[in-house]
Amino acid sequence: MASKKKQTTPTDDFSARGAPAPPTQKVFIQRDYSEGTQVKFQTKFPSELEGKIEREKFEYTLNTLNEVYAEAEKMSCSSCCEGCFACLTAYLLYCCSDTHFEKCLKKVAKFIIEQNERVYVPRGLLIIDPVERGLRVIEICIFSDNAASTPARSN
Amino acid sequence: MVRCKGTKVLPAFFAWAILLITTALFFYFPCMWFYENVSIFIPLCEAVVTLFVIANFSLATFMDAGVIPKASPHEDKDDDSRAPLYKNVDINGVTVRMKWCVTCQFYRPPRCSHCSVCDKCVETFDHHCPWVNNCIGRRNYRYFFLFLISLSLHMAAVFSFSTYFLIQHKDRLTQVPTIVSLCLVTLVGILSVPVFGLAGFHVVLVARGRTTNEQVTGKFRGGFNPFSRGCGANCCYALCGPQFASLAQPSRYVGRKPHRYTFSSATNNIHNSDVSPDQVKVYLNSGGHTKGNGTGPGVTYNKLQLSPSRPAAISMLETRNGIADDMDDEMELTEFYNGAGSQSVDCEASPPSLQRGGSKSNFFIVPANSGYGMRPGGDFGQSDMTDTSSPRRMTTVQTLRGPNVRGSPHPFRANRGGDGQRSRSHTPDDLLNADAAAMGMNFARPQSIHDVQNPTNAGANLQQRLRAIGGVPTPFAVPPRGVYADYSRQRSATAAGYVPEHGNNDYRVDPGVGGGSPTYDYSSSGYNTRPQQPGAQRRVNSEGELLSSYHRGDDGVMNYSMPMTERRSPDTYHEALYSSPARPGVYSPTAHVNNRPIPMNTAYRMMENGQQDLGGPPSAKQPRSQAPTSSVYEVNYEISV
Repeated sequence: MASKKKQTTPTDDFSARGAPAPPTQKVFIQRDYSEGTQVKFQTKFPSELEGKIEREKFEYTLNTLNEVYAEAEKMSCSSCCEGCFACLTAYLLYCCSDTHFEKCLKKVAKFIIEQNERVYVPRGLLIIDPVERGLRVIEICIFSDNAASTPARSN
Repeated sequence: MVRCKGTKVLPAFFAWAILLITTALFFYFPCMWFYENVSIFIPLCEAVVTLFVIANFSLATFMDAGVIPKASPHEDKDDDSRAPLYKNVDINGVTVRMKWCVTCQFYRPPRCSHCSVCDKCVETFDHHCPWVNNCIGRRNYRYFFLFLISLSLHMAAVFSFSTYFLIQHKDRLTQVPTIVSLCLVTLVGILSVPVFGLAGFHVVLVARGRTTNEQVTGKFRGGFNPFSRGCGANCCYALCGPQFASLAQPSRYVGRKPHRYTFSSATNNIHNSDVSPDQVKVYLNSGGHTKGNGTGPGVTYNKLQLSPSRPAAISMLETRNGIADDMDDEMELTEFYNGAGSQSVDCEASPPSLQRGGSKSNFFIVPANSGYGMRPGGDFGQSDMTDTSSPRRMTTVQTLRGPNVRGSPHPFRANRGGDGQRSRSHTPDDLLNADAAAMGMNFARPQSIHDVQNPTNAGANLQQRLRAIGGVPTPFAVPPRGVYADYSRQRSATAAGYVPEHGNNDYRVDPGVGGGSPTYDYSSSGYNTRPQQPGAQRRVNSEGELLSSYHRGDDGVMNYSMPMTERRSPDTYHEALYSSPARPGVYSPTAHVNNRPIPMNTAYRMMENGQQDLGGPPSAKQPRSQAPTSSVYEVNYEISV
């Protein structure tokens, strides 16, 4: 069963991202539902990333992401006006411009690219944009060669 | 396929048709009269309302309801059935269960539900509306709600204006505009009942911050809705909150092609590693660190750690990994889940005993009399097994690693293969020695049965026995009862039924039926209140010279006199035999006679008879009346005394 799945897996998904090889390991950071269904991710540092990235950098990334998502879902005057205006234009506004939420998602995408280039990829890591996973998880791929050789799973 | 699609679209088509046709008729006939005779504002307002209705209806119909895309196949590869069906999360202090979605391969976020019609998971699922042929979820609920409100308004307007038109034209009922108005009034009057009801229902739901799904299934019947922000804020959020973005096409946000990074060359040698590309590591706050080297068992381990409801299983596996890295963890885990381990897991009372996929809880038939079902018996401390969080649960697994019973949920069968054959050919000397010694000991001190059966006193024996059957000698290593029940059954059968003419039949008797059953029932189901129970005694003492040496230490000197009197009392068949005086001192503690092993049955009988002829073969000592039918009584005798 498992082998079947392996065969159907597109393994070269990461070559389009410039990765030399499929990731050796993936870390999934789950959503934090403690405050409701707002998009928010857990900020606890995963132990798999220990020694691969500084704790502060990881936390900065996640906190920024959470901030952007919180801003996207905040009940603000602009979002309210946007809704009303769209309603008045018979929702033709949605055809012409992005919503506030979509703008925030684009901001996240930019931020993740920037973080990947500056921080993560040089360390052999790669963050996948949560949008690609339905905003359920943040996927962090680990591309380090020593992960394969060390029995690092012991910790 | 096409037909199926057509039937799905049919209600929506019908709704659209009714809406458009009635509105058109209304505008063409009564509204024209209003425009000509009353005011232009009436048709104008009606036009705005109609536009609003149609716009909202369109959005509710065609907008993505908030579908969460299915998990990519390389996200959670090994999603085998092993992780629990549910995961609990705390939301504003309320624990909410997240169910595993088999189709979409993830835990459905809170309020999310899988729509069986659309076959997709929809965020903040409200319901699937056949009239709009779409799910109503997080994204389009607002439009659906506004559609209901505006439709109610529209219908009210159509109804009232048409009625007014009718009143004005009641003398011209045969004309087309009047007939149309009459039809409109009737139709709208009928349809307004469900529409107004639905609109009112949704007004209440919006104010309370619930979804139809939650309301209908009674999720918050008992209390607090963790998703409610208060009446005003709920309405505000529903009507003019931020519009959630569609996740169906992430390329809208991240670009059609993924961004290309330049990796350093240091990672290039990954190609040569033997690690498969689909390794999965799952990180959870509660789960702590997980071990995952990707291939089957590793991910299984991850999955286990995902389960919040199985602390015992997790701790067991962690312990196992911690203390024995060189053990074949694959086998361990596989056994744990495929074999008897799943049974112990299933003992949990909580819903997570359900497994993902539904079909994986237990592949084996649990023997009706196997150790797992016999908790009330309570010997060997098995009562502890009811505590599912007890670390002793792990011992079930560990002891099952013994040579005979490894991974088998049928300890009976496993044991019978070994012992049954052995005793069928002949009883080994050492076992007989052990039996005889044990018997002697028990005769000497009947109360010691209690001691031995007492879990606290049996500790040393258990250790030895575990070692003997290949278990791990941990302080908690308590074997499953089935093993011992079966063992005792074998042993008592050895003792009771070894009659050369038909003795073998006793071994072939099915454990559930026939002559063997009384033996088995008594010894295995926990009725150990009787002080004299040879089966139980032998169960405790049967593991060979390990135990016999142990018992010989205290009880090497045999004294039969006291138990003999006890053993006589219930029996009627041997009444005559008891008339002969017992001569306790004569018998050797071992059951060897002329260096030949004597079956325990014979040994008993010889002792009871006062032993006139030790030298004769055992068969010669059988009374004539030992017909095959009487062997059943023999068994009964052995057990019930």
